[in-house]
Amino acid sequence: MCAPATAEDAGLLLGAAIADPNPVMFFEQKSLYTKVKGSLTYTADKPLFGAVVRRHGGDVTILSYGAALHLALEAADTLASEGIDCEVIDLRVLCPLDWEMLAASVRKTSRCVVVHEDYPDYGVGAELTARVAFQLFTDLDAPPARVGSCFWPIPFSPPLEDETLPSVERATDAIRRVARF
Amino acid sequence: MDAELLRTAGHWLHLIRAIEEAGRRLYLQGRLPGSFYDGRGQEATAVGSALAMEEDDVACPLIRDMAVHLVRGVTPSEFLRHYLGKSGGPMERRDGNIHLGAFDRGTIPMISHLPEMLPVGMGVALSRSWRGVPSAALGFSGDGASCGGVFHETLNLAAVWNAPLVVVVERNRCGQDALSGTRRPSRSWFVHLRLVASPAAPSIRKTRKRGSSAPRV
Repeated sequence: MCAPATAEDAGLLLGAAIADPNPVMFFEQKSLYTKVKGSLTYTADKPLFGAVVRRHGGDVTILSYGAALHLALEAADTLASEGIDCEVIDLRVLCPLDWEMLAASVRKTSRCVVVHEDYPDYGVGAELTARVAFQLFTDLDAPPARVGSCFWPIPFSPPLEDETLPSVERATDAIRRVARF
Repeated sequence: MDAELLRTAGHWLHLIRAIEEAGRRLYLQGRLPGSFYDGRGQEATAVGSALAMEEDDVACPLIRDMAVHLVRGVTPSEFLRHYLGKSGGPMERRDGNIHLGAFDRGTIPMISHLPEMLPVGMGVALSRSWRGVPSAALGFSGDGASCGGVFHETLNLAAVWNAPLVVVVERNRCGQDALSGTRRPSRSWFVHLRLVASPAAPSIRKTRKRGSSAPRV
């Protein structure tokens, strides 16, 4: 299961998905079509695996993927001015998960926030925070948090849609709470 | 032909054409969220079918049948509010575009997969009838979508249950999955004609009308 956030990743992961002999679910977000720029290169020899650190930091680990990654990076920039140093990880491939990489980062920062467009309830964020809580419990200094869409169907009306999807404000609030726990 | 019926049908035909032209203009101006589809040239089928409905009947109109909503009492203001994603439409901003339905006036919002609304409409009409409210369901399908398995299964189920279902097959000789030259979409129609006329399906009655004339429909 891939969820690219950049044009480069969209090309690389799509090439890898085509080359992979197994069924691959490839999630593209329509909002990214006009938002991200970059060159598309298709190569079949890249692995269909691996997360990437998009921003290095020591206070809070932010796990993100897809369109929400740009939101997470924006939130990290905002919080940097308040002295909260965030490490932003782009998951890229949701399954199989690059757990070693995520775990190393969470062990380093001892705090974890998932920022995604999925519903926080029963979604990818629920799985990630559950794993972090279960496997890294003794390393944590704060309960892991999730930021996502409000738990109702995505409405058609643009103002209501904006209210439903996660925002930079909601992400910074959650990260601030975890950082100051 | 009944002059009063002609006048009524003409009124709805003009109104839906005017509203959809306004909607199209708004879309081209970039003031309408999402995309816009209309039923230009095929309005008469929807108007004629909706005029034949009784008070408690339900309809599952498709993209080109938005006139059904108007005839059932959705006002032009509600219609455009819905398309613009503003409050005051039947879906109250939660849904938009062609996914319009006024449950209190007997129209069920469509989903994009065709002809998946036929069994839904049939279920609504059947449950109403079982609860003592005699009603029929009016479902629409194009000749392209009538190639789908759901169409056949619904006809079969309706025949077995003796369900109050009226299916309008709008034979416009277009089908999204029917490539020109390789498969004629109109073929499926002839398959249905044979199907419904066969002795195996005595409870299915059929009739054929000119779809561009609302009074005839």
